[in-house]
Amino acid sequence: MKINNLKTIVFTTIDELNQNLIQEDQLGKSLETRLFGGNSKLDSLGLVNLIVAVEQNIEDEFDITITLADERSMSQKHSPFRTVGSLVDYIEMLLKEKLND
Amino acid sequence: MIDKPVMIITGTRKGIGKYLAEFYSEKEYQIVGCSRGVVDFELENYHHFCLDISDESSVKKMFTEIRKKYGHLDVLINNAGVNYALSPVLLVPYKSALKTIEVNLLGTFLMSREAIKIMMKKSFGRIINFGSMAVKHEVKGEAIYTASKAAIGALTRVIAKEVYSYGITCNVISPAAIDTDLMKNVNNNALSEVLSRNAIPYKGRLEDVSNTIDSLINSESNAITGQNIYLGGV
Repeated sequence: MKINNLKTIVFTTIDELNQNLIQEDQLGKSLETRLFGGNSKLDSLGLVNLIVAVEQNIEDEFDITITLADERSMSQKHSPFRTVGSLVDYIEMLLKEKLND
Repeated sequence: MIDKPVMIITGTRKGIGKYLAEFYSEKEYQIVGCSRGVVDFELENYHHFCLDISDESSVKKMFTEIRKKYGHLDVLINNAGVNYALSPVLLVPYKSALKTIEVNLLGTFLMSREAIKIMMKKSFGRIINFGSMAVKHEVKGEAIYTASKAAIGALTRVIAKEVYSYGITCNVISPAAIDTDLMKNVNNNALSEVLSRNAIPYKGRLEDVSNTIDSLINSESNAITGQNIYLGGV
């Protein structure tokens, strides 16, 4: 699993979402970009949109179905949806598990 | 990818689901149906999946295929339902109660969750869930089934609030008793007594259901959401 691929998929998804946002609301493409919490530009709907779009793009790229908002992600002390980087890490872990099934 | 509207109907092997598949396949819809078993009919504009709607992995696979094949989804009709626990509470096996809740409530939840993910991309969608007049009449011997259908009402109201901004509506239709397999174990005298409490004291017709769905899935029906429409004057 190439993490660069995953990063590119998430960045592509951000591009897709940004197309519907005015400039000042657009999400930055960096691993440090906050996805929720005080400094995030996303509201709760925006975060839902991003998660769903990433799931679909992962399916298209790897032909593997994953659920990002699963029991683990919802119960972790540090949410995997904090930043783009933590999201990429979480996707990588889920995909590795799926591939080892 | 196709331009015509896409409609998913669960539980199409028989009863109301089969009727709705036949009814809407003759209209402009591409129908995707599902049930645990194979169907004994062939329809134009109809594609069937064999799956248990309470199995998350199978449901997700079906939606992936729908998204890739059709690219969009307009209507979800959560018709599939079971009643494995038709007896007084004291005699209901736990596993029967669990499976009834899994199919009726969690199946509806799973199908709705995955449908919304596709519908939100087009900022349009119509979700129709199935309730029951048993929720209003509180019929003895149907505690678990009634509880599962009451829960569908609550689920629907919350979903309606969560997805309205995506142009998606979510409503419940609660038909009067209609002759289907689900009714075959219901005592006729008890059924007559329950129906006598309605404004229309007779069994419902399949057309009553499709007429109501027609109205709810109309693209102009944006303001009807979170509602439970009881047929038969319950």
